[in-house]
Amino acid sequence: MIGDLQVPGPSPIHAVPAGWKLLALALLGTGTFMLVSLPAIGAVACVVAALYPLGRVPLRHVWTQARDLAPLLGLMAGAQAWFDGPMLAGITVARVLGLVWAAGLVTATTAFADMMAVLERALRPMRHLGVAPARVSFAMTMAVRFIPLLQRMMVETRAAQGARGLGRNPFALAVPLIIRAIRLADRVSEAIEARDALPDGDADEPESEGARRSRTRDDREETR
Amino acid sequence: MTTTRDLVLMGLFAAVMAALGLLPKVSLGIGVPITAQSMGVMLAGAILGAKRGAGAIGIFVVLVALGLPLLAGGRGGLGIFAGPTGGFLVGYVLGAYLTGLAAEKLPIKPDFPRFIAASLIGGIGGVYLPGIPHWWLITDSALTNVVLMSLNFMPGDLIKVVLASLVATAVYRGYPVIRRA
Repeated sequence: MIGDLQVPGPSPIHAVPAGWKLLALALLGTGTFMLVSLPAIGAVACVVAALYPLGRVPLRHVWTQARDLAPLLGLMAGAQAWFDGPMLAGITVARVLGLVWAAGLVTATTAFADMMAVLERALRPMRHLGVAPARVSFAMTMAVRFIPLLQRMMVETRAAQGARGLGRNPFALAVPLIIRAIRLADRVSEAIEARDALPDGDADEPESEGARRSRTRDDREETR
Repeated sequence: MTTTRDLVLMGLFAAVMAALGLLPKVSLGIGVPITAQSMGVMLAGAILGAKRGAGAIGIFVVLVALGLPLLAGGRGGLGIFAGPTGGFLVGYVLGAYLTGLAAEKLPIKPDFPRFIAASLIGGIGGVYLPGIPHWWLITDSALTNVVLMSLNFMPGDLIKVVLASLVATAVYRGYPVIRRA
C-alpha cells in the first residue's frame, strides 16, 4: 500500500531537488492569493496540470484529486456563487485545484526518503529548542516500521469481529487493536532498553539505518 | 523527558491511526461521512495523554505530508494540505494535545464523562480551531459560509466523541497509560 502516491521517474521534475520543489510550492501558494483574476488563476491551474505529463505522472491523478475535492468544493462554490457571484466562485475553484494539483505533483515526483531528508534538515535547528532530531526520527521510523503490522492486525480483527457480526462496529474493532498496540509498545520498548539502543538526545548520528532495521526485525520475531 | 516507552508509544499510535484508515466510512443520512481517524485523534489524547498523544498524531500527520497514503481511502501527500480541509489535519495535532490535557487535568472522577468532556474540547474545539481559518483562507469566502458548512460535520463529530470516549474508557480500564494528577 505504501508508495501509492509516488510515481517512478526519471523525469525533469523528478530531477529537481525536493527542497526546491517545496520552495516553489510555497511561492505558488503565496502567489495565487495575490492573483485576483479568473483567467490568470485558471491559466496557473492549467499550467500545473500540464506539468503532469512532463513529470511522467498519469493524468488520471489530476482527475482523481479533483474528484475527491468535488463534493466539498462544489458546495463551497455554490454558496459563493450565490453570495459573491460566479466570478469569485470560479476563482476559488481554480485556485484550490491549482494548489492541490501542484502539491500532488510534488508528492508524486519526490521519493519518500528525499522528503524525510528535507524534514531531518529542517529539524536540525530545533535542537536548540530541546527537540532531539534523532529521537523524532526514531519515533517516525517506529511508526513506518509498524504501520504494515498494525494494518494487518486491523484486517485480522475485522475478520474476527465480522464472524461475530461486529465487523462494522467501531468499538469492537478499535478496543482490541489499541490494546494489542499498547502491549506491543511495552514489549518493543523493553527490548530496546535491554539493548540500550535508543538514540540519546545529543547524538546526531545515533546508529546506522541497517542496524536499526535489523533490530526492528528481531523485535517482530519476539513479539509474535 | 521522553522515555523509550513514550517514543515507542507515539510511533505505535501513529501506526494505529494508519490502521484506523482501513475502516469503512460510516455515512450518516445527510451524506457527511464519519471516518474513524478523527476518532483516533481523541483516542490518542485520552489514552496517551497530551504530550504523547500530540506526538503520535504529529508523526502521523507528518508522514501523510511526506507522501504516505495513510488517510482513509488511501489519500495523502501535500495536496491534502493545500485543499480546504488541510487545516483540520493540522488541527488533529492540537486536538490530540488538548484532549490529552483535559483528560489529565479535568476534575471529573469517572473516566467516561471526563473523556467526553476532553474529546469535546480537544477533538472538536482543537481540530476546528486551525481548520476553520485555513478553510476560510484557502477558499476566500465569507466566514459565515464556512462556519455554516462545517456545522454539517457536527453530528458526526458528536457521535465520534461518544464512541471515542467509550473506546478510551474500555482501553483505560485494562491499560491505564496516563497517570492522573
